[in-house]
Amino acid sequence: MKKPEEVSNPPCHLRPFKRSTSLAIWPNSPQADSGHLAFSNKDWRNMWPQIEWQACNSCSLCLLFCPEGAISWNANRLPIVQEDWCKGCGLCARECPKNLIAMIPQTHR
Amino acid sequence: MKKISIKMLPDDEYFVGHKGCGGCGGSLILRWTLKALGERCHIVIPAGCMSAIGFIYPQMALGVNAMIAPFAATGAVLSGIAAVIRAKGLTDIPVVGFAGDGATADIGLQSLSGALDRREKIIYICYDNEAYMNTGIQRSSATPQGARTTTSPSGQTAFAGSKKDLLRIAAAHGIPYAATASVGHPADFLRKLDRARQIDGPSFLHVFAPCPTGWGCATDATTELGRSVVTTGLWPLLEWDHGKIRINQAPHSFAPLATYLAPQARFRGLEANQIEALAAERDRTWVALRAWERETTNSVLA
Repeated sequence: MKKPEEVSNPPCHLRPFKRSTSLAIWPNSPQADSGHLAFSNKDWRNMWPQIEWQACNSCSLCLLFCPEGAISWNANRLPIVQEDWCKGCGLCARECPKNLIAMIPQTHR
Repeated sequence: MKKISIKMLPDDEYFVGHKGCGGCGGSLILRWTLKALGERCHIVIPAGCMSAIGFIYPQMALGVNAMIAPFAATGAVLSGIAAVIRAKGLTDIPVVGFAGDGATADIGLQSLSGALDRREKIIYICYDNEAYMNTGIQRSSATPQGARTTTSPSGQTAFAGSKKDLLRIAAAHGIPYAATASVGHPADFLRKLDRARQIDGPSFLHVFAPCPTGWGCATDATTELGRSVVTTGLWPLLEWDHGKIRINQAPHSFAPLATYLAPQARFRGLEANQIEALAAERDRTWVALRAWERETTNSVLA
């Protein structure tokens, strides 16, 4: 399995750029570069999944059921949620067989 | 070719950062599909939610080669790409169409029919959220009876038409493989995708994909609805494989319809007699299905 840092052009990662100023800095066409993400979805959510790591057995169901692909493994193979893509839908919390994920209001984080 | 299963899904993501609503069932199926088929796959998406949320200039949420087809032309574009890939002698590129129910059952039906007839090696996935969600929840011919949309009221004045049976339409073309799946059963979906990938010819997958925005359900109800629609018998998991139909999950008794209908605002206007009518319609469907299964498995040709 290739790790993101080993891939020269990893699929789908954030490459932010300044909007507005001039058309010249906008990419020529989106299809020139697959997986080109300009804007984060950070502001979309009002809930945030808080994962209780102690009892997690890395069953990977939260990774599987995330429609955003926002959950990935950390170095210890525990799930981490990516700030940029989570929309706070709560599917991971619903699917966790051990109920280790709590949806907390974004403002209380 | 590595087998596709939940365990074998790679960590790579090819559909991230899209602008779909929270809890979107369609985007979850697209994400699984791309993870399973990998970066070599070419995907065709007609006008609809997935093209609206994936390709927002200058953003490209898909990590694979993808193009937007005209609304009515998913099948035609698919067979074109498949023909080029065949002409160039490439064998490792899955060609996948990913269309909604409107683009499959209504607007793209003739194009799908043409593509199934041409027998190119394609996988056509219809993610069924049971209305035109992208344009504002208008009724499509895949909307179930009694469901409220912005163009069809619920209650006693509900539209009488029932859901178009896409699996039978696809099977009637005599294609090698067609199946139904649900977002609540990922193992079943991935097994069917794996089978579809190995078929030399067109294959058709009809996948149940809840839409929290359009159905008025909670954003975290997507997978639960994907399971309750199967246990209530409203969405049979079926597999049409070389002339034989197989019922993957045949419940001895159906769960009460309320487990599926109650969490959704679109069914709130239904009255008791209409729910009974829905149950009767479901029972008729299952009688016909079981007859179809007997007929194809006992056939002299089989």
